[in-house]
Amino acid sequence: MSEPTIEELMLAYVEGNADAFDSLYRRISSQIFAYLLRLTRERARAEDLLQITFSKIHRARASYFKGAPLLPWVMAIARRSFLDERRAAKSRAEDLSQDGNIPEPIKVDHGIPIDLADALERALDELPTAYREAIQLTKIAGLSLAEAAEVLETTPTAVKLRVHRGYTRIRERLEQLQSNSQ
Amino acid sequence: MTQGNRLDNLSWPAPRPPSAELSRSIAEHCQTGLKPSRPASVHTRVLVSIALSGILFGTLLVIGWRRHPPHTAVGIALLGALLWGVIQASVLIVGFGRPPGRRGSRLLRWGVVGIVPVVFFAHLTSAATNVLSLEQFFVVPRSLRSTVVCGVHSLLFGALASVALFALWRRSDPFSPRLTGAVTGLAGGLVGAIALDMTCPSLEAMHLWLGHGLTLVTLVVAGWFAGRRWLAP
Repeated sequence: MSEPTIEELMLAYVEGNADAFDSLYRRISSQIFAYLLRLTRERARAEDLLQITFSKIHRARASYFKGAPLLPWVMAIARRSFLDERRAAKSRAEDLSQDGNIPEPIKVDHGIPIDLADALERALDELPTAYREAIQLTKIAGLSLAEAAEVLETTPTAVKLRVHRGYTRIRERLEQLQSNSQ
Repeated sequence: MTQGNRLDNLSWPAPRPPSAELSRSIAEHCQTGLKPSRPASVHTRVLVSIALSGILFGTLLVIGWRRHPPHTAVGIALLGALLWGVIQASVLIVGFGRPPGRRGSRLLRWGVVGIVPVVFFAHLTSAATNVLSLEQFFVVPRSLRSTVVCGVHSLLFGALASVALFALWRRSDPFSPRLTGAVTGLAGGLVGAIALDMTCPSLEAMHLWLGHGLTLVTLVVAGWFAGRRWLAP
C-alpha cells in the first residue's frame, strides 16, 4: 500500500485522527522549521515560531480546503507568523537599539568553512531575506514557482528572478570563500 | 553549463528537525481533545455567501421601496436584483471560488477590487441629473441630511453583509488576506450601495457620490485592513 500524501494526512487530522497528526508532523515539521530558521537565523526564534505556526494550523484546520496543496498553505502560515512576530518586535521599545533600529541578528564568524555544504549553508544565510526565502521554498522545500509565488505574495517571474539573483550571490560568495581558504 | 545548473548540482542543506522537546509540546497542544472538524466545501461557502448577501440585499430593497414607491417598482427591482446578482456572484467567485493556493490570479482580484468601484462611480455620475456646488450642498440642510441618512443605511447594510462574509471565510486565506479582505469588503459594500442606489429618489451628483458611492470605497478599505486579522489563520 502506498504511503498517504500529506494532504490525505491533513484531512485525516481534520477528521480528528491524532495518529495522522503524528505522521503529518513527522513529514512537514522539518521543512517548516528549516524555512523559519532560514528567515530568522536564530534557533530559539525559529522554535517559538514553529510552535505558533502549528498552533495556527490547529486552530484553522477546519478552513483547510480539500484538494488544496498543503505545503504552500502551511508555509504561508509560517511566513505570516514570522511577519507578525517581526511587526510586534518592531513596536516593542525594548527590542530597539538606541538609534531606534531593530538590531540585526548577531553574525557569528565561523572561520574558514570546513566543507562545501558548510560553505553553501553560510552563503545562503548571508543572502538578503527575499533571495534566501525564494531559494529555500523552491530549491529546498520543493515548492513550484507558482506555489512559492503564492506564499511570497508575488509573481512566479519575481520568484524566478530572486532565485537567479540569489544563485549569483551564492556563487560569488563560494568563490570568495574558496579563495580565502587557499 | 550555466551557473544555475552548477548550483543545482550541489546538495542543498537538508532540513533540520526541531528538538524532541518542542515536538512533544506541539503534539500535546494539537492532539489534546482533538475532535473532528468538518469544513464546508468552497462551493458551499460561495453559495452561502451569495445567499446571505441576497437576503440582506432583498431586505434593504423592500425597506427602500416601501418608503419610496415608484410606478414601475417591480420591474426595476427585478432588473436591479438580477444585475446585483451577476456582479455579486462575479466578485465572490473571483475572490473565493477556488481554495487558497489554487485561487485565480492576484491581478484578476486586484482588477475586480479596482474596477468595480470605478464602474459604480461612473454609473452614479451618469445617473445624476443635477449637480449642486459644494457650497449649495452644505447650505441646503435637506440635501446634506438625506446624504447622511443614505450613507448610514448603505454603510450599515454593507457592513452587516461584510461581517457575515468575514465570519464565513474566517481564517481561510494565509496567502493574501488583505486582498481577500478587500474583495470581501467590496462584496459586502455592493449589497448596501446597489440596493440603496435603486431605491433612493435623489439624483443629485454629490448625494450619489457621498451617500452611495463612498460606502463601497469605505468597505473595500476597511476590508483590506480587517483581512489580515480575520482572514489569515
